[in-house]
Amino acid sequence: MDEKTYKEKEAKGEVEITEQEKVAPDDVSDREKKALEGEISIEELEPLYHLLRRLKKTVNTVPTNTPHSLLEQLVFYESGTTYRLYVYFDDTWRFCSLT
Amino acid sequence: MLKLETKNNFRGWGAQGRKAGEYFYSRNMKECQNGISAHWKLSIKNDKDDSELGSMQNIRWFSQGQHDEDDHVWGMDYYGNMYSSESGLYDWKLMYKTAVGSFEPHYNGLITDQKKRLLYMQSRYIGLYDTNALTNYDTGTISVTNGSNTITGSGTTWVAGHTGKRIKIEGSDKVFTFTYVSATSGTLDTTVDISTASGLDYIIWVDCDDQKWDLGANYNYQKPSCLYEDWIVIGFKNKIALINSTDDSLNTSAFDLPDAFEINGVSQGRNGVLIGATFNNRGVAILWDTFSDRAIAPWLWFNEPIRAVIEAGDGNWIVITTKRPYYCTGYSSKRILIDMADDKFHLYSIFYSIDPQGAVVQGGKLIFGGGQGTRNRSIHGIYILDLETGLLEVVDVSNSCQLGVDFSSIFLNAENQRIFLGFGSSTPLQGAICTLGEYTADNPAIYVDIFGQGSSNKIAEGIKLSLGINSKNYSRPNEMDFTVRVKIASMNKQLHGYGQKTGAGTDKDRIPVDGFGLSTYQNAEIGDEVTILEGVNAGEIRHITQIDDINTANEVWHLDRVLPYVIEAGANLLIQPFKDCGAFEFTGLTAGIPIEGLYFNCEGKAVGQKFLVKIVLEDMDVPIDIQEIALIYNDLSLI
Repeated sequence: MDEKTYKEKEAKGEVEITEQEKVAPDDVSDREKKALEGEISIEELEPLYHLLRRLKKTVNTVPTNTPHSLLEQLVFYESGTTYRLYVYFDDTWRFCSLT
Repeated sequence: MLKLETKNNFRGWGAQGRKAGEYFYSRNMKECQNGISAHWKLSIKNDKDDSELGSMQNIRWFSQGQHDEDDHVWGMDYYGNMYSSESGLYDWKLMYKTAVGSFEPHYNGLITDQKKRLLYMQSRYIGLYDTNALTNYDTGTISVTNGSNTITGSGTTWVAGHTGKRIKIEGSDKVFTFTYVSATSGTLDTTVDISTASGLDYIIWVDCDDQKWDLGANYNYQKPSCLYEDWIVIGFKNKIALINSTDDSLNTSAFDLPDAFEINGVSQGRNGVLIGATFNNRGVAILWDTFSDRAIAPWLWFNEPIRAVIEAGDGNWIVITTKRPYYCTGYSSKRILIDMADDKFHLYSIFYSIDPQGAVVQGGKLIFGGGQGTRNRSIHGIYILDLETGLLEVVDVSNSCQLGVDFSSIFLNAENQRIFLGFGSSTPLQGAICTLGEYTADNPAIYVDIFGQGSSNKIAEGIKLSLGINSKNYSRPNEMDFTVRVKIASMNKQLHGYGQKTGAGTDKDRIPVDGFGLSTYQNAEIGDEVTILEGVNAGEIRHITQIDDINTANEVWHLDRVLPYVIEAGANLLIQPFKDCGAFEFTGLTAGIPIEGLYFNCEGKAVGQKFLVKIVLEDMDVPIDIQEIALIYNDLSLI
């Protein structure tokens, strides 16, 4: 159909305008929404959740790293029949022997 | 009954057709405030045709650091050639070339450490380019004799410490290994390949040590790396090495996986370092803290090999497998997409060949070079995946090839927020360093969507377009040029088909094909659209106006417009049933785009229930927006 014919039909009201699919307004994602509102996201709590629901592993080497969290401040050491609890504070690792 | 159906929401294309703003397909087009704009472009910075880059292969790794106190982007190619450019925007130059031999560089990696030094991984050794030292030696000039490996210095004071260092001589593409003889005399590991000459400039790369660290054996695998606190974390085969950036000590087995594992991703995040490995064709993501003997969280398994692990931008990661990307915290993961457009359930996907540094997240978008050798929407290109909507946009590589393209690395330069990438194409043979940005599309910008609500039969009558100019653009030419072409296809015909140009014929307005053999598209029709997918005419789109010797081995398609060049034998073609509805070619436009819109008559072009409308924007000097598209059709159920 040429443009002239189309415009004539449009002028006579012979063209039905089909409604476009309704489009939802832009959603702010859940993650963004929580960040904007200052909420702690589930992803941030996930490490804590996983650490608390598992047993802490023993190690057989003396810790030398600098811990980043309370859980990392405590280390269970086992070497042969030597059992120790290592605790990091005042910038160094300290231990006590266990039975 | 005559109906008018409009589209004016263009958020991206996808597989399902169910998301808000989802359309069928586009190339080189970007969502914008007023619709969709021809505003994606991959700009070439340097390629193999430039001086100093003649031996450049596909860049596999990028890094960003300082050199001579300026910010530089560095790139390392497949052969261990290292290139650099200030901010990535100025001419890229060959800065160093590693030696080939016992420390084969082919399986490599590149990272700038906490001291702003450049570490380059080779098969066995990790090299160090101390870009802070600035002691590379180029005092005086040298004389060389063709065929000899002895060089003589003039004004030089070479020292024993120069022995073993790499030397580049003016006029030669080769890089040699230097051995000190005296302050003015030295030997090379191989003979000089240039004419006998004197007074030549040279450089001895004193600041580079190819064997700074030793992994103990050749490991012919990619070596992804990251920085974590004061550690440099390097994955090689099934092991993780740690370099202490304070004292440069190396631990080659800081974290070991069983022998059958292969590490393809190492990336830092807020929960630690995420290691991506593949075992028996299954991927596993392992969270580690750089000091524990074992993982600090349960392993996360995937049913596909892992190709890359990258930062998501929020402290977590994107794990990319051969099939799809996953959002991963180290403790849990979830799929980002259900399916990619035109990927088949039983096959790999556009992510299949991504390398460890082959994707990057910028502004909530996952950007990667991807695609398959298919001739549908999974074809090669730079893909931009919106991580919130799961919808895509795709950009052509700079030479418009959509097949035979090899991607390796993509990199965000934090200094200027530019994205750099390297690609190689087989036809034409090209290796290039490019940057992706919002520039006026050079290649045809294409938009395709489905029209025709309901299941009634319809006759397409006309197409209306409302166009504009992208509001971000501030480069305003006195006169505007652009061409807009509109096509339509009924969806009762197969959308994608392919062919190959046969050896015969040198006419630029004809394509000889094997219309009989199985390697070509069967039943091409007069009026069908042909897109050249590779070669010197890559990206060109034409229509078939006549077919000679149809369904024979000597079939010839006549084109509606002459191609710029003779098409190469064997070049792949995409054949689609789009029928040409005409074009508006604007030149010297000063009064703006016509406000009444553009009307295209498509009477007699398509009958069916659903239609695909395709818009092609070409030869633009400003980024043209498509604001609204309307299809006018006669709905036969309502007559």
